[in-house]
Amino acid sequence: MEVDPGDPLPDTNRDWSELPVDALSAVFMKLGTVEILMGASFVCHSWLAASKSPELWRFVDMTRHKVIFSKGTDILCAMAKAAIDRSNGRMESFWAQKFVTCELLDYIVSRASSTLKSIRLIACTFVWGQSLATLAARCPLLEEIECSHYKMSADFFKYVGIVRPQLKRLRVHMPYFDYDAMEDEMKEHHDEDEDDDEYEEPFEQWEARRNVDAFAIAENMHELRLLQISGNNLTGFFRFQLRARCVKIKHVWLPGQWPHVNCPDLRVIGENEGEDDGITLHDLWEAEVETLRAEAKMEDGSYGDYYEDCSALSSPESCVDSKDVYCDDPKVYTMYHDYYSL
Amino acid sequence: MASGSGAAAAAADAEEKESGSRMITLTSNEGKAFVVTEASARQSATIRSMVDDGGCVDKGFPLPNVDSKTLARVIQYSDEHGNKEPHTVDERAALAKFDRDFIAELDADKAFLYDVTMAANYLHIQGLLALTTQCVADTIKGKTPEEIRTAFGIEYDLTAQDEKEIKEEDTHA
Repeated sequence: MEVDPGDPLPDTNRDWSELPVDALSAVFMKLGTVEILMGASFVCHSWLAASKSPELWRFVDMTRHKVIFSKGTDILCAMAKAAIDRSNGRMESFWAQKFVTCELLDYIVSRASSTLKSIRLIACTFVWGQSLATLAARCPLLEEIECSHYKMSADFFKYVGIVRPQLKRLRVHMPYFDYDAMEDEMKEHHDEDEDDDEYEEPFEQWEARRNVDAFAIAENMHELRLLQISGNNLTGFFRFQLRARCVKIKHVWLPGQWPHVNCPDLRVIGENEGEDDGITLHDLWEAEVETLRAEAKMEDGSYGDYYEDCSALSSPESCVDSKDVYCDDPKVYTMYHDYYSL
Repeated sequence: MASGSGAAAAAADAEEKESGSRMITLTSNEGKAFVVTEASARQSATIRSMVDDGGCVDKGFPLPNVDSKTLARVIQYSDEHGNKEPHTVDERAALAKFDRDFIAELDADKAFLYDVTMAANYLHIQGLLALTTQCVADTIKGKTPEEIRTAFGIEYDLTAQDEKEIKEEDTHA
């Protein structure tokens, strides 16, 4: 077969390995942590050199990448450490999903405690509250903490509030909380106390129990601008408390809309909402019920289908389980994004 | 297309009347002159600072690092972004569409993408550089180092020292 003489010859002058460092940095910035560490770094000598610029590693983001779901914890931790090393003591944020260990948190403290402003851990089930609390205590510039999809205790929030009262953003995104289990627990509780004349749990006690984490947050974190908290069965009362205690708060995301955890569905309370004396607790409750009705698309206003929808999500077909992830399937990948509302 | 460039010209006229905007001549490395509005030329931080420092506006700006084909394409971008200021949702959408079409053409021609990236970098046109580097990044995403080399025609030139470093990083857990 003859080569068509009209075809332009490959232009040897255009050497992508010789891309100026500014342009290459701009490319790397758009690639993100995992792509640089897995691919672009190893392309050629000049790209490797460019990938070591500490500027690139100020914001380390190891979330939302299929590699996170397909590689082992040890490899991902090694990658994270490589990223931390390359930041050369300038890392400002560290975001990660699933793989983070307490040892890695200690490594962050040892290398980046004086610069770290944001740590976001999503579904990092190996992390002890104690390790994360220690990190919070050792990083004086810390403004943002996320610990989602893995329950931290109310004591954790209390402690973090004490050591980091200047915290500006807190995200605690939890899976749906099982109301039924709670009801059962309440029943058992009442069975034990048969002598107790009062059949109903006092409203205040019920309220306090529902809001225990949230109150721990509101207690000391008075500088919060953003609070993303969901799946915690918060009551309207908490919102008033939050208003009173965290006066600087601008955004509260209290979706209560499981299973719809996508960001666009998050309920954003307006800056002044709840401040108006005209709004009563009852109004807020009504609004919540309206939201739930709308969510469940119910005609009769009951919650029935809403709960059925919730339980449907935990069925094997629709539940996100990393064991079964075929990492090259973009559908699953997208589902993870949705699942973690990223 | 015709109505689009007509609108661009009208916008340019309005701009000129309003701010007394000058016309500026840019010359490619092949000696071809391109006359553009100052608003368009100011998309380039390099030219902007030269204009603001005074002088040489009348003589024009020779651009020894940019060939005619690339310069024409760069000017197409600068005109679109410099001569118009999108106010309405529709205008913004039109500009976004322009960017999409612009980069789609470059994406299909990697050599030209390289030239435009180099020119955007040299002329410090932030928006254009963001557009082209995003295109490069999108091409790299999800590929192994070998696949990236193939996509961009890059030779493997990692030294033994480089490889040793990479290995050390990998096992350092």
